Amino acid sequence: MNILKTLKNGIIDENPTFVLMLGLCPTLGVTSSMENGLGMGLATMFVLIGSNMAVSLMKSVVPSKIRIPVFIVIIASFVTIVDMLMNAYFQPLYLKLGLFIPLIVVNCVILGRAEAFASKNNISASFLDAVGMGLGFTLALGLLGAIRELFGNGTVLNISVFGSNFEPALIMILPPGAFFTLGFLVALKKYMEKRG
Amino acid sequence: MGGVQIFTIVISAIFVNNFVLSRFLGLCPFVGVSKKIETSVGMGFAVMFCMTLAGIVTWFCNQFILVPFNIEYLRTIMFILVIASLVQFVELFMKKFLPALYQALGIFLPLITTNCAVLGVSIINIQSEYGLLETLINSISVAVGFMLALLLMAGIRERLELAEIPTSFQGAGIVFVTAGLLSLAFMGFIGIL
Amino acid sequence: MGNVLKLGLTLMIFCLVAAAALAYVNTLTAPVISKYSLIRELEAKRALFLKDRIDLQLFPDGKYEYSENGKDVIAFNFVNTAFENFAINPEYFTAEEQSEIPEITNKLQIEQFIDFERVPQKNKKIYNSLVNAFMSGIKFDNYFVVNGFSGNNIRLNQITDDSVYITANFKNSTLFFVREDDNRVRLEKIDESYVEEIKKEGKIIYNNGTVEDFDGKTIFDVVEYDKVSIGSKFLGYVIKIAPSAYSSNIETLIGIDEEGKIAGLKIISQQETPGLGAKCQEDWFMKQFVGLSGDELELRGKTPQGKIESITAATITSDAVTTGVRQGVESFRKIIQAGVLE
Repeated sequence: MNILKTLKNGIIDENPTFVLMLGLCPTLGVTSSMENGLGMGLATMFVLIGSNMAVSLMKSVVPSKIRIPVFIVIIASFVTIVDMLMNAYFQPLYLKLGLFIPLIVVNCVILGRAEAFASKNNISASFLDAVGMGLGFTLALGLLGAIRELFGNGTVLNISVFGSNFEPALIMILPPGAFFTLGFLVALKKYMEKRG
Repeated sequence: MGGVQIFTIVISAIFVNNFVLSRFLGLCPFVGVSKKIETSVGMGFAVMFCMTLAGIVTWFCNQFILVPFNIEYLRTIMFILVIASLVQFVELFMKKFLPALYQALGIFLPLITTNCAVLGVSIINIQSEYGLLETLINSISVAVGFMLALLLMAGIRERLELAEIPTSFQGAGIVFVTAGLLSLAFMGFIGIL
Repeated sequence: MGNVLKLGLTLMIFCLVAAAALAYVNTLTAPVISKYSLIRELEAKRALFLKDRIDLQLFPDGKYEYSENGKDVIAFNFVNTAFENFAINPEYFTAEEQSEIPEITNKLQIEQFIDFERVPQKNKKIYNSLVNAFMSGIKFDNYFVVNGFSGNNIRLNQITDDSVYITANFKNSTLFFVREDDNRVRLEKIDESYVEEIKKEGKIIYNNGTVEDFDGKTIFDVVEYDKVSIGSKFLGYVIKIAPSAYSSNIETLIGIDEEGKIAGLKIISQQETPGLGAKCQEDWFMKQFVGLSGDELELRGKTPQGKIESITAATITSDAVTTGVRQGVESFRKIIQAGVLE
């Protein structure tokens, strides 16, 4: 089934974080808790869907020579819209994600998909591709955030898991912990691929 | 603007709040370019040039266009377009006057546009409410910090080529673990200020 | 050449369309953003004066209501400054919680006191709603004081945006100030009755005997504060400071009680390093300041009387906040002692 295949592609085969290694900055920057990771993933997915659909809609109107700047304008517009909507209706999350929301515009995943897929396919396919990639990104960020929050804070989604006697490994929610976690997850994936 | 303030900005940007190792900005080129020391140096200087120029131009844009006309919500669009154009000009300039460096950097030069560090430093300059001089100093310092991280990583990676690394960790895995150790080391600078 | 122009023009059109779309979204969201900011600041201000034990006799007669998302949650009455009864919206409370109402009502009527430490877990939701309703009765009146005008300070009448002059009463005369920016005013004009006195000396004569040439250009600092009251009972003052810390200005609300001690402190905005300086917004750090004053407002170890525990590896942020709070509270205490406050 075409829909499932596209979604599976975005979530597993071409997962933006673990396979394509794109969008690393927010991946490490906002995953100190699962909630932040999921929030960022969803915000990025929203921008991805909007920009993919807009690019696909306008692919016949945009002159090829200026397509990159035009894509950038489209992506930046959606990022600004997400920025304003989050500031208005989700302000606590907005303040936690901080600088990384406007930085969605330089997330290579979005420009990459616009150039590689949306500019060459119809709207529904572009939409599905965006959803798949967005879900893959969100799940990766959520997983990273969950691990870091669990060991660095003893909680998952702010719910205490280990009880109050647990001494969290503070390093997990600090920058080095982010690098270590991602490194080990990538290695784990490689190991599992080799085995299976 | 005292000497202490300048010192704080410089030390903070290079060591304490290193863009790559503490703030997670500029990671894509960090992982992609740091295989060899030579390319790292070239990339570092190119980023330094673009970042400083971008920092100053975006500061002027914010000061004389966005703020007076009350259109601060257009900041993201305006900044990224300015950066993209700047990188384009730098590319053309290099192609004509520094062809050797242009060849060496290859694809990485246009990728400076999507380097979150460049957009990041422009936004941070505005958020910290820096004046023109502070913006200049901060932009240069951030770029120096970026190059420092890049060089350290490149140096280590060149050595790692000769080491025996478990197959699962080869490639991206060991790079991230190394980055984590570097980040850990840099955390020692926190007490300076 | 024509081709480049055409491409450039196309790009411009895309930019303009994008800008127009964003301008539209901005008009939708900007008022919402500022509204929620104000609401959050108001809630933070109210929480400054909330203590673990609430004396119900503080609150005057009337009906207090708490609504959430536009729906009424709880409403209760005070008659002859005694707690009488309350009604709750069944949608927000379970049947079990509702069955506790008669017992809770009875307890409150007798004790006229809420002690959070001793509220049973099953009743916490109801008590929280009660407290929210009480807090809605806390009122803030906004005032400005011209700092350093005469060795004392004088109170400005309400600063409004459409008045060219801001007035203050001084020595039975009216003084006219003009606003320079958010925190400073310039003396612009003096009422006739005071002019004679000035003409005699050719100078402004201050209360404490000092004199200054009236050049009309001197600029004075303005201190903004809120007077907090509930019903007719005066609770204290709220001031706002924004000391420059490591990488941002830390906006802080300080609640000061009538004795000049800190009743509550809340940091409402900061952009410090996450995991380090950003911890200044954690409860344990902010709670330290409550009840302190004067020399106690220093970092532990920096001075012998200092009582504030610094955040590990975030000394600059901790010091900036502590110093800012100390300076703000001390200069405001001087103004309280000058007796010019409402």
